[in-house]
Amino acid sequence: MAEIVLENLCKTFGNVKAVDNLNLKIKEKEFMVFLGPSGCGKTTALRLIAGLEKPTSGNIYFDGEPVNDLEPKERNIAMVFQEYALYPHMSVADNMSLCLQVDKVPKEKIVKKLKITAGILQIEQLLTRKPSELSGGQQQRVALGRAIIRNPSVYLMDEPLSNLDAILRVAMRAELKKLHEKLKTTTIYVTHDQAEAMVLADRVAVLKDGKLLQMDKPRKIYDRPTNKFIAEFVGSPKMNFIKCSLLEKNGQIFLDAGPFSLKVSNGVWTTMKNQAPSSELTMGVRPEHVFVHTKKEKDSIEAKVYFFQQMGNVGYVELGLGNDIQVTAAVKADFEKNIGEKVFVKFDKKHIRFFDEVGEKLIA
Amino acid sequence: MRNKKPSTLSRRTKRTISYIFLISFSLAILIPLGLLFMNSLKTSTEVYDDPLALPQDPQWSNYPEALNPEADWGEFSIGTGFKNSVIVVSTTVTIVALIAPMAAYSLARLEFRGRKFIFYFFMAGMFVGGPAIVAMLHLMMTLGLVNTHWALIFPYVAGAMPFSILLMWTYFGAIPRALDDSAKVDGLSPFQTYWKVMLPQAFPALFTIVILQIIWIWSEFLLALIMLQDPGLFTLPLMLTRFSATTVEMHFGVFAAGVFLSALPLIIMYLIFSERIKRGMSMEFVKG
Ligand SMILES: Nc1ncnc2c1ncn2[C@@H]1O[C@H](COP(=O)(O)OP(=O)(O)OP(=O)(O)O)[C@@H](O)[C@H]1O
Ligand SMILES: [Mg+2]
Repeated sequence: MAEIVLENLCKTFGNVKAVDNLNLKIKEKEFMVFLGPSGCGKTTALRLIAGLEKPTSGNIYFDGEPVNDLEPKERNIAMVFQEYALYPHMSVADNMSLCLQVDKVPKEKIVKKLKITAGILQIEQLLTRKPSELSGGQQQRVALGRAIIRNPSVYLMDEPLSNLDAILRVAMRAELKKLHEKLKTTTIYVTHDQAEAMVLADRVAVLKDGKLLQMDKPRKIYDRPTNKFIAEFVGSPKMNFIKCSLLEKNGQIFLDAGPFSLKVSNGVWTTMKNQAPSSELTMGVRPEHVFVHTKKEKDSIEAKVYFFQQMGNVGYVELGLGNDIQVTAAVKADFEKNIGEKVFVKFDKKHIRFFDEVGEKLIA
Repeated sequence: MRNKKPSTLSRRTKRTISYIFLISFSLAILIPLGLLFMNSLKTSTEVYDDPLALPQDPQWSNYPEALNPEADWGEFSIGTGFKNSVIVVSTTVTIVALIAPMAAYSLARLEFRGRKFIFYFFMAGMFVGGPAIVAMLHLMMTLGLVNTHWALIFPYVAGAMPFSILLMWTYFGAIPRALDDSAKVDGLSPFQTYWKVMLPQAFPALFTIVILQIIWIWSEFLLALIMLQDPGLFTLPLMLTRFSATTVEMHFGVFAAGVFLSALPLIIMYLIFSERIKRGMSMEFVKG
């Protein structure tokens, strides 16, 4: 178990900045998720921490000790690779216990550990098979077993569930969470699946183009994404964005989005005045904070139903506000309006977020 | 439209041609072998009367006779030749099997300066032909190795390297990089990585080079002829030449038995392993 600190960490391949000045601290026993789109440098960051890659510049500390010059083995890490990387010629048992064999752990102890680990992952009956005789999900579990069988200071997992089918993925996700509850080993988990990040993480670090964009508790990231990219990347369906501008009319402040305008409270207005670079803003609101009514109410906005998606327990309806604003709203699954019909929309004001015009910065 | 007809035609023609070729090739090998076996069961008189006739009364005793070290066949002894061949072949193959995969592994997967150059240098070795044998003799004389088995083993090893390295190199090159990382995380040393993780995956290729080298060296004649003078050191192909002309005339059946015996290990090996040799050459990985 270790606390891991990354300090000004950079890694370039040719002229690609795979990891760009990363600074973060992973607490002891924490489940940290690196979240980001493909190619954002998640794997590279993980490999740097593992010691499989040398940083171009910057430092890595385990429990305060610099580990830049230590081999993976000396850092005492266990890693689950994106492509499993099982040894094809070895049995499952050997795959899992090779690290112990190399360490000359006594045989009885290896057998015991194998049994416990296989039990946790429910692969006892597979121990004598070769990786090629396993299904993807089983290989996955063996890859996890190879990491769990030791007592490393940190688990590094690179999209370990990405090759599983949806059902198995959700099941394994829960297993992983339980496992972490039990072992309490510091874990860094890489994924591009925001749902996975939400479920698993104690904290999430959102990466893009090698840079850290935001690091916080999953709930916080969902509630207060610090820029439009994160707001879009986290949450499904994604947050609605509406361009609007601040207007002063008869001593009152309005946000004018064209087809509708919203009154702004004084508190919000003060923040905006101080933070916003211009009066042009982007307003963001998640689908579940868009309320759809069938009758006109006070302050409600007229909208037209474009499209309805039934998801089983909920539904998502795409609405047109005026001519060129579209928003998605979460509704009950038994939503009854047909395409083209008129409805009335209200936003949950508490949950509206404002970004600057280009979406670089959260304002309120 | 224009393409269609000729292509079906040519496919059939191709097939016929390849069958004709394969059948005649098989016959060209099987007929002499059959004749040899037939004649190895005859008496000398029978052989000279009609080499194509079946043996009247199969002389199985020709076989123990051929192997008899006491028999007075000049300095010809199949037994000694057999022993020498086994020594030379097994030493060579052991050395090749140890060195070639290691060389191929480092050339395929380790980063170091001059790696490409060394690889091409080895590959150029494939085109070193006949004239090199004179230089080889000179070298062995300088080293004082002429008329020892080492004078064969070293050149054989050298000759085996290019092809063996090439074959193993393609195998090692195709093993996923992630396995290196896996091994590093598991704490394997570079040599353990090679020995426990990489080499076992290249076994089909290793097997193929071993078999091919055995076949090639077992029947190698020219170098042995140049390097060895002491009949006690002669390998099988060379030993057969010691059967003097007159002895052959008098004991043709025994001679034929000797020749057949010396070819037998190769025939058996080929029958058993032909599938695996082909597999190794075609780089079909043995999964798991
Ligand atoms: N060995 C390498 N040589 C050159 N470029 C590399 C190398 N490894 C990664 N890169 C580049 O660095 C960037 C980050 O790659 P990385 O594998 O870390 O992304 P990732 O976030 O893990 O993506 P994915 O979700 O697709 O796995 C990419 O632009 C990639 O092309
Ligand atoms: Mg990756």
